[in-house]
Amino acid sequence: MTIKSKVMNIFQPAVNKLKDVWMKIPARLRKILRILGIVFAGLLFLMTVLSIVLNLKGKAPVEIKPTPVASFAPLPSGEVITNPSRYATDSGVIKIEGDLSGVEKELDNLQVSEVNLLPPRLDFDINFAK
Amino acid sequence: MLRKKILLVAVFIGATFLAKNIRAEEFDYQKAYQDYQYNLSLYNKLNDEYRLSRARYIQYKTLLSEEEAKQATLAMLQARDETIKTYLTALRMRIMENKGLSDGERESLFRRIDPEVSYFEEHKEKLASVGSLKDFVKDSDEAKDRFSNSTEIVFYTALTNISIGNTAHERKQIEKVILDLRSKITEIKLAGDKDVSVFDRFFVKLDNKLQRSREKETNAKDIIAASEKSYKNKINYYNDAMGAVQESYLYLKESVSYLKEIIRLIKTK
Repeated sequence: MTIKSKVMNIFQPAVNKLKDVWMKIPARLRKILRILGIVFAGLLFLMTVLSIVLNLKGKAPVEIKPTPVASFAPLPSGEVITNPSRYATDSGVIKIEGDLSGVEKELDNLQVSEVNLLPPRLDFDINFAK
Repeated sequence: MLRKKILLVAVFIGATFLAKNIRAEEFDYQKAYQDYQYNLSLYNKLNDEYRLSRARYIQYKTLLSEEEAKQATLAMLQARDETIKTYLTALRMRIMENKGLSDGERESLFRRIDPEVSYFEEHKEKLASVGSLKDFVKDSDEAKDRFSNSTEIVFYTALTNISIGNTAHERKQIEKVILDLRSKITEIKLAGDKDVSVFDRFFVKLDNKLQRSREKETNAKDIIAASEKSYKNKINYYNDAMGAVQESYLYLKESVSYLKEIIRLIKTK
């Protein structure tokens, strides 16, 4: 007894049962089911072929998109406002902020005392005694 | 003939324009400061030569060493006068270019600087006619008295006022920002989309800071004015005055921090 005949012996009763069920379906419905089956098989085949071809070409690189972040209104000092109001981008406010930044820079660079212009050291003790 | 006239007019206009430009470029603080630096280094060199010739004269007491001592003393004393003059001129130019001082304050300082310049100019001219070492000593002592009783005070008064002018200028800039910010806050208040009531308190604090800054500057002026009636070392008064100006400066820095905070609050929901 070959393997094929052994397998046939196992599945034959199920096949016969399915054949009986199939034959009980009306001929017209059987035809529709057959067409649907062919179309489904065709699609399955096509998808399999396509997936094999695409895999051979190599996977398309995944585009890394930056995680969207909430909009911040940066201050000239580098400080970031996390919850900006509508005045965060107001031209008047930004101008005042710029002016203030200018004043701050001037203040930082200001030398309170005129270190380069301190009085000269002069000798007033003139005499010709020993 | 007509061509000649046109040429003459063109030359005149050109010369006037050129002279104006040259005059505008010819003297400013930087130039005055360079002049002073040059004269100071020349004085230091001539003072070394004077010391050397003085030592030789005291040692040898010869006619030659006396003559050399006279020449060296004359050169040194004239260089000393010129150093004081150019230093006062540098102070004058610094005051002239100072944006924080009012015209009245400038004029008041010039009225004190100019007589000192005139004194040392005349003193320098007088030195050329001096004949003996004894007379040199006498003339030097005269200059010493003038310097310690008047010139030195003018030096420190001018320096204090220059520093006050610098901080006063920065305060004016801050006041301009405050004015703009107040106007913007009024605009926001009218729009009614943000609560700005908290800022009133901030502005009161800001005004206090600026007032304190002004008071410190007045304090510095008082300190330096007190030095005129005192025989103590003038530089100590100047250092105290600078301490007060430094405090004024710190109040200005705090004011800027307050303004930054207000702007940050306006920009935040």
